[in-house]
Amino acid sequence: MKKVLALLLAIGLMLGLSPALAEGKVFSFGGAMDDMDLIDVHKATSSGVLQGGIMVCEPLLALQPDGTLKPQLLAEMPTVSEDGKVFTCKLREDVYFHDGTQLTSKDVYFTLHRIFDPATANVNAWLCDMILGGQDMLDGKATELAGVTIQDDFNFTIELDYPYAPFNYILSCPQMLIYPQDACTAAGDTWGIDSFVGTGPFVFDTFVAKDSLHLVANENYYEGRPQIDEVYLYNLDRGTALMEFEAGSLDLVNMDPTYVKGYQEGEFAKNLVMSDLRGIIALNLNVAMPPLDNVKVREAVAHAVDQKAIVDSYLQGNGTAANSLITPSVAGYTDRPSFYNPEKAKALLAEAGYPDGIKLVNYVSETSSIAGIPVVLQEQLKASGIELEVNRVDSATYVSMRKEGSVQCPLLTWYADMPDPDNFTYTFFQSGNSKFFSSNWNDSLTDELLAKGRAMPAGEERTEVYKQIDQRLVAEEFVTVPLYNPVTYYLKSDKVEGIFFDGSMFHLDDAFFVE
Amino acid sequence: MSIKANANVQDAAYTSFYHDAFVRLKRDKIAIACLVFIVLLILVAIFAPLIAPYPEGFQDTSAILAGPSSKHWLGTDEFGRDILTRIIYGSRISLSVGLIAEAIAVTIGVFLGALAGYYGGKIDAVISRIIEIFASFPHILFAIVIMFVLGTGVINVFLAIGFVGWTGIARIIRAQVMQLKEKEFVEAARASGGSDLKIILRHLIPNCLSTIIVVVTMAIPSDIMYEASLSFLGLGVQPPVSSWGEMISMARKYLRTNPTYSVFPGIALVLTVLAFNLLGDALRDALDPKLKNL
Amino acid sequence: MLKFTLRRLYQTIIVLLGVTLVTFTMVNVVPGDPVAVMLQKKADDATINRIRDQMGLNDPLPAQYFRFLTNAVTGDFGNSYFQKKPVMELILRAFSVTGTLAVLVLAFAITLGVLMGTLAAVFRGKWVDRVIMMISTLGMAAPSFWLAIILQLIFGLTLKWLPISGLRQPSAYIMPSVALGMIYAASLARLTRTNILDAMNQDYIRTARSKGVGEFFVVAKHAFKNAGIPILTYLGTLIKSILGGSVLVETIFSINGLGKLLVEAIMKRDIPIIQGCTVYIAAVFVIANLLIDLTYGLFDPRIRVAGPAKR
Repeated sequence: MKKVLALLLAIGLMLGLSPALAEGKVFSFGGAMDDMDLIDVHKATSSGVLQGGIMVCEPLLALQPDGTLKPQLLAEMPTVSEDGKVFTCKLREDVYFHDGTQLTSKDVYFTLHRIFDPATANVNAWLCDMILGGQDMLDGKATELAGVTIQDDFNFTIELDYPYAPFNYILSCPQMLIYPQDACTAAGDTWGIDSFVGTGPFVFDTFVAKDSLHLVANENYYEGRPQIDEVYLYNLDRGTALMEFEAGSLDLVNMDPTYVKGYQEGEFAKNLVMSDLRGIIALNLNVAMPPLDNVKVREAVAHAVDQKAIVDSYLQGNGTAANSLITPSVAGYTDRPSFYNPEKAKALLAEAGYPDGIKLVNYVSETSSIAGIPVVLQEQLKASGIELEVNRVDSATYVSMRKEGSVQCPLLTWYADMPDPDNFTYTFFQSGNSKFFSSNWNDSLTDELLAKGRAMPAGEERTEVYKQIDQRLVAEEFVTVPLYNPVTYYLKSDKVEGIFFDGSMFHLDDAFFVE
Repeated sequence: MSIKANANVQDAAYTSFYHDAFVRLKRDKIAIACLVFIVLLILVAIFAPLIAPYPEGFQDTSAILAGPSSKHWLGTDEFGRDILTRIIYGSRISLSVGLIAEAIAVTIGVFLGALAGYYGGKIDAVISRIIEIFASFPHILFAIVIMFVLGTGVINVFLAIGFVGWTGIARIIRAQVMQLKEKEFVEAARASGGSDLKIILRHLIPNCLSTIIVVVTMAIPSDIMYEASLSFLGLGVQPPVSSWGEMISMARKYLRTNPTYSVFPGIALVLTVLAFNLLGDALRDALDPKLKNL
Repeated sequence: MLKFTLRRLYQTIIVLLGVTLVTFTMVNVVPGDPVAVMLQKKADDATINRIRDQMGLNDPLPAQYFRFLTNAVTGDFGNSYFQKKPVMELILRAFSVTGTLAVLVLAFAITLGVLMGTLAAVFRGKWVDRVIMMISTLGMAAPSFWLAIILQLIFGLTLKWLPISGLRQPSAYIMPSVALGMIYAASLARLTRTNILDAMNQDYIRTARSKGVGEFFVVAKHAFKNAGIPILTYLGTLIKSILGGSVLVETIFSINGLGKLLVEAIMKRDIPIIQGCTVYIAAVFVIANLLIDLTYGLFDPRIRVAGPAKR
């Protein structure tokens, strides 16, 4: 018995002590990227897929650390026509794809065409469906994209259906990476699985779905070869990824805020980096489901929620209490005090005809990182005579229910695609979208303001419009109760510097190993 | 007349059989210890609101993920809820899962097993195939799908586990009924014109009772584990209800902050499963030594 | 023998057909739509319907089932909705992981279980027996996911002897195998002990012993042969549990095995993978049982034809 144990132990030691020693500057990045099924950004919405995509391919414009845009594949920022509908663009002439072909206008047309081609089954087309002719293609009414016109190899224009002020931001989204026409067409169904070609700092090497992505440095990158030789992206269970980091086998790991307390002190405190997520967590109140059709009841709910307590207790300070639907760094944000007042909440309920309180039903996806929030609310709302039933369901069931508009008070979890107030408002409360997010808000004044804001150029006047929208939704009609602005954390090894986190994606272009 | 006498003889035989078994069981010190533990656990579950230091959902916002202290003997979880309180309330789930899920499994399993064993032939072939289909199905898939269709919640967890676990007992009962139906007392009952249903319900199933008791006791631990697994996958009980599996699953996130959080519900789970395992062993030895290979 | 094999084969096909029908019914009564999952962030009914049309999900159900069956006969289970690869390829890849792991778990469980059980039986009543029985009782009561976390903490993080996750080195197989195999090793130990004790009370072993044959040889030669059948039966149950129920441990160790493939597919309603996996797991299970039935003959010629009642 002893001998067997000793033998097992010896074998274990032998195998365990001989990890493959990394050659060169290999960067390992791990985290929960459960949806890393492929890395074609047209076919998935999850951050794991997009993260893989942006390391190989690039968008026309890029977000900078200060939140402004810079041209990436374009030679300069697009010029916009007077009516705000036509964007004239000029490509850089020194950009080559990893297979050696030069980037030209036809690749841009090809990519945008592929986005709207029903055969692609693109899941992100909604983001840019203001491009003229895009919707017609999706509907099968057209086979060519009317809004994109090629002047020559490096000049093209994009025409929109209606003026859309933040369109430049859309061109910088990770869902809008430019693909090479020849390579992508040749790859067919294996695109983003067995083959993936772009212009970016790293070249696709191997991809194992749900497991790992291996990239190598692009020797001929037009902005200079990255200093890292290889990148591994691993999909790991959240807790496991952190342990791997502690054991020294990962250089970068993203972290759910729930884990952060264990790392704020001690050995790894110096590796912990906090970053704003540019998002909002809110409680939507479904106006189609009684008693929430009564504005007094909605007002009562708004008065029953203590944002500060959520942040201070459950979140342990990892987040900022929010009282505006729009995040502070984005135009249109209003700094208003919390409504929290349980006595007033009870009075409002009594006024609305519910002196004995009400019962509300919440559904939340069990995989959601904020699945704990309804539990906190459940206890908080009790004090105001509101009983909150919490149902954790699997995410597919949740999405189906929410899409039907049949969740009474769903949590709104939004990590913005771009720092524009339109992305925080139109997306959920425009009457055509509100059912999908289960608020069922259908208000002509809101719609009117949203349409107005979309078409206006950035500036004071536009900010004012979004303040009005925020006021209407949060403080007059109480359709949504903002809870907090989330933050995220990541652990970064001492060995690397120069990583840029843009609020949703990591950029390793300028990352380097400290000697 | 003769049948009645026969039945009386049978009854007498049952009584002395169970009496003997009880005597045998009483001699087993470990079994008695386990029995005492289980009875205590049942009392804890019933009187949870009286015993627990806090209400089930109470959140002490000043003590998030705190270690053991005089205020919270076993510490608190990520919401500031008292872990001892949650373990006490969690015993309700673990125990009822054993009882209710097994009640469902036994009802289906005994019914189908007895039918197959008694009639044999085509009916047996059909039922046996059904048993095989369900037995060769990935259990976890089945349980998850039931949870999806019915929606999450305590009762549905019981149903899911019950519907998953009936094939084992169906097989055992089928084999036993097949043997029993050749016995004289069954022949006698049939000769005196007893209907099939009556024979199955009055004669065959009672004779399988000791087997059923043993199988149920031995299945309870795996049911408790199933509930823990489902809760671990996030498909179990709904807040603020607590379950040991859900606690272990959540505690996994906080291993660094509050390591004892995962230890205590784990110990509760291991002890309970242990008690049922050992009691099941002892019951089997006392009631039905033939089943030792379970 | 041939007739028995043929009959079992026929039954196997019926069972597999039944499994496909049950699976198909299940995935179609479950709420949730794979397309809605794909479009999670934002979608409207028109988009969802368009993509459903393209994937053939709007066809009548009987037509879908028939299409699935006719393709499945040729080994084609379609393409995964999310990974966009042939299901068969994904299953085989996951199976190569789960299969390797299963072999290791079996090796671990059988070696440790039978060894401990035999030792306990030989030293019955002595302290060796008590210690082994205590360990195995505890082993049976500890849930594998809990054990996995504890192992990871001790051997991966604190002692740094073994890799914490993945299966990128051979040594990485040790912790998952132990976490999964402990409960089986424990039950096998108990099973072996009881059966050997039982066999040792049989007349012919008493005879062997009275002839002065050493205790060890008695156990090795005679008792083992008799204890073999229940152990073999147990293996059938064990194989299925290893193949179907390891999703928790696979998740904890970030292993892309069959359990994780199946459960993730259910969560996303990736219907082709769900169907492929269930058929595959059921087939492996049924075939394993078939082989075990046939192997009984090696241990006991009397039950070569009928096969004992299984659990």
